[in-house]
Amino acid sequence: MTFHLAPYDVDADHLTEHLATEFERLMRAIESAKGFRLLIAQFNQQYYRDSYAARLAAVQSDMQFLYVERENMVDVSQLRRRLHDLAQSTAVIHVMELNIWQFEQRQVWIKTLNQQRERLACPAVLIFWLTADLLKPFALQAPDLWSWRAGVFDFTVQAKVDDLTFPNLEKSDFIEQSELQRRLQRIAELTTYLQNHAVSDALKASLLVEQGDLNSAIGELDEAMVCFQQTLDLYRKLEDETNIAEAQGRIADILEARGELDEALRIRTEEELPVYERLGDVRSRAVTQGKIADILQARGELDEALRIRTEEELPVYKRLGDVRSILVTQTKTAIILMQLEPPRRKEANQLLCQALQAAQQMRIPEAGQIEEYLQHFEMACSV
Amino acid sequence: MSKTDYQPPDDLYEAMADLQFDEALDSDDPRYVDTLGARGDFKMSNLYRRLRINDSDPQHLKLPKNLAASSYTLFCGHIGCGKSTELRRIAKILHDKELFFVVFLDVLKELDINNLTYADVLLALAKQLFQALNNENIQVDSVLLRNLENWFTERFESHEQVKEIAAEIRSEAKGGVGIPFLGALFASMTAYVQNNSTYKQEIRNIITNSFSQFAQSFNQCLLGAEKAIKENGKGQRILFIVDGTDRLRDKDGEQFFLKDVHQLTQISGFFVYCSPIHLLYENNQIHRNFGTVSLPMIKLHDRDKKLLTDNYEVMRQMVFRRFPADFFAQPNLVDKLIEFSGGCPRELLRLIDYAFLSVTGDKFDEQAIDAAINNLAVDYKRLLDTADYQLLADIAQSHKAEQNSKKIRHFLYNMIVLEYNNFWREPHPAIYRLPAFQEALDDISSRTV
Repeated sequence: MTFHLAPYDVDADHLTEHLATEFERLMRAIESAKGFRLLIAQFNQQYYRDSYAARLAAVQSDMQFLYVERENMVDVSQLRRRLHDLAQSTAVIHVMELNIWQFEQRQVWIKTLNQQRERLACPAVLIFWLTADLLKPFALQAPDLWSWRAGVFDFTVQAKVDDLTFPNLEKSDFIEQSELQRRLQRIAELTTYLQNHAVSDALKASLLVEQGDLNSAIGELDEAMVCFQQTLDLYRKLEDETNIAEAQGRIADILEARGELDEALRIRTEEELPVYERLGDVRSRAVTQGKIADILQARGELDEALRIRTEEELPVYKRLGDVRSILVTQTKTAIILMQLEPPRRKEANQLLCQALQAAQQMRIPEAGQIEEYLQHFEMACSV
Repeated sequence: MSKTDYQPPDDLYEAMADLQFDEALDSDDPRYVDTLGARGDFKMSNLYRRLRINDSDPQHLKLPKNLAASSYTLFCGHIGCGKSTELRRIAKILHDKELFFVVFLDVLKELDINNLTYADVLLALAKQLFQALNNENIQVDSVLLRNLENWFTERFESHEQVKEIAAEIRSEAKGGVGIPFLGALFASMTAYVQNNSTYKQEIRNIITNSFSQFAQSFNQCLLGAEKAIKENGKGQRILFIVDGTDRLRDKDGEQFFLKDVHQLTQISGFFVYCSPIHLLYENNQIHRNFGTVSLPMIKLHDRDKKLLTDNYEVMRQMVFRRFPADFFAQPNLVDKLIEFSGGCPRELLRLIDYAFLSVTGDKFDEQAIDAAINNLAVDYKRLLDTADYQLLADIAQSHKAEQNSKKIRHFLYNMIVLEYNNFWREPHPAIYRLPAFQEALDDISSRTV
């Protein structure tokens, strides 16, 4: 299968020189592929891994993502079958979440991949995204498969603690699970539907929220803002207080993404928070305070950010028994603790380990992100 | 059969065979007696206003045009006070093209009340909705159903633990799409949850872990369904009525109505849930999240103990529509049963049931009635500790509604204390037959002399 990549201005995207080079190399490897090709992409930050993969998807439409852990794959045979299914209609497959190998099954997985390499080959470009600690055993314990590699690309970033973010955890699963093409198709479908059907204000607002979320997820922030502004107008007309606050929250999300932190903070504190307090919506109040803490943290106001996490957010989530929100807040708290001078390392380690245990029990992707943080901070959890 | 044609059985044993005091009457059941006027100041307006219904002309109820609100209402009352019967009547009245497309769910029939979560109820409501739309041949734009279909594909068909049943569900839907597919889908999931299958917990976990996605998708479907319902002249909005959730005990009730309220209220729309009476007093959070409408017991006397003869007649009708007057050896025996029912329809029928067990001929005589009342008293004695009698005697004296302890909530839930209009409380009349309670009453009287 041959295909062509659309022109992509790597320089305009503010990648470092090293990353830009790696990105160009990877695009060339994909473009020149005919049939099966194995590429290895090394990464150390999940957020950046997703970011690069999305950049590639933006210029090459015939691409799919296979999440090994999320799809609950238990063995290589399953992975193999899935790859072959996808290869029938896709030119490039990103294989993600191979950190399933972190567990005791790791050696079994790697050896079996090597043994079944002949059957693994399918008419598509496979990009295995691996962290450094997986790449080495993969190279050593699956030497025959390793020898098939057509390139190894280094997308590791040397992020300081300040650069670390915990992306997309507050966004709904609804957005995270969509692939880019489905998102674009859905945006087009919604646009056509709204143009051709007379609908109630409530339905129109609901569809615009979805459209805005989809645009936001693919980085079209201006388009997203237009959708959310229209949504806000409609909910004001409907006098729907809760949805007005939520629409303003989405606008604040866009402003934050654009770096307009002052206005984002104003909306959170003056528009959103009072509504949730008045309605007694303790959960939404806690979520909003968490977003305020995100902004304060970004501005370096760590003491207040820490206070919000520990005194406003965590107690509410514990009272509600919301395990996922607890572990996310614990992780964010740990990051703040590590940003303090001096860092409060022991407390941070404890929180990350608690969060990791909960995430592993829930079998959610956040477990991988927390492991990365532990690795980054050179921390471990005692067995 | 119309109400005028209906005659109760003329044989006591046949009449007893028909006595199902645990089942609510359907709205057109000939045994139904309108009791609303006998419940003090209670008016159905209380509920209608929560649902934004304009009832200025009771014969022509209407909704405001372009009503966009959501509303979550608890319909409370003692177990057996007639909530289920009234809800069925309300459902029928409000299922109207000028009002609501009513979707009614009886969790006692569809689900397992002893192991119930919000996820189970929402699945069952989705099933009821899509099946109702399918039955009425109402089509919803596929654009508005797509996200819910994708939710199933992403969350179930690729999930290792449930993908087998997901494939079965897909196959059972016979390649259908849209509303027929979604109706079959949610029917299957509800069945798996109800039948305590090994997949029950996995299904619940998937819903919990992907609730935001489910809620957004389902809300979009609801808006689409309401658009289609309106276009088809079947209603202005959808109203979900959930019966049976008043049977949730203690921690289960607290979990459902308090801790999981965020999930319940993330689904936008009009909802009426049946609720146990004690939750009204649990904590203020209930009133923040729900409107409450309380169906009081039938009032048998006023505060001065003067009998309310009209209300006694209402309850007599409840008896005579099941058991003709000549089944009773003396006319006053029916009133004795009514007195000791405390104004609770189910307690009245229970007393008749107990009386039947002591009948020696083919009529209810004084001995059988007394035995029934004494047996009911013993039922309540089993629920009481020694220390409870003093508290009950205090309530019998003061009738105060302000007390809101865990013990009082326990009394209300178990009908040891009955609550009437304007929060007037009294111990269950059968308790007056217990010697320990009489002693406690005497003790109070001697202290106040």
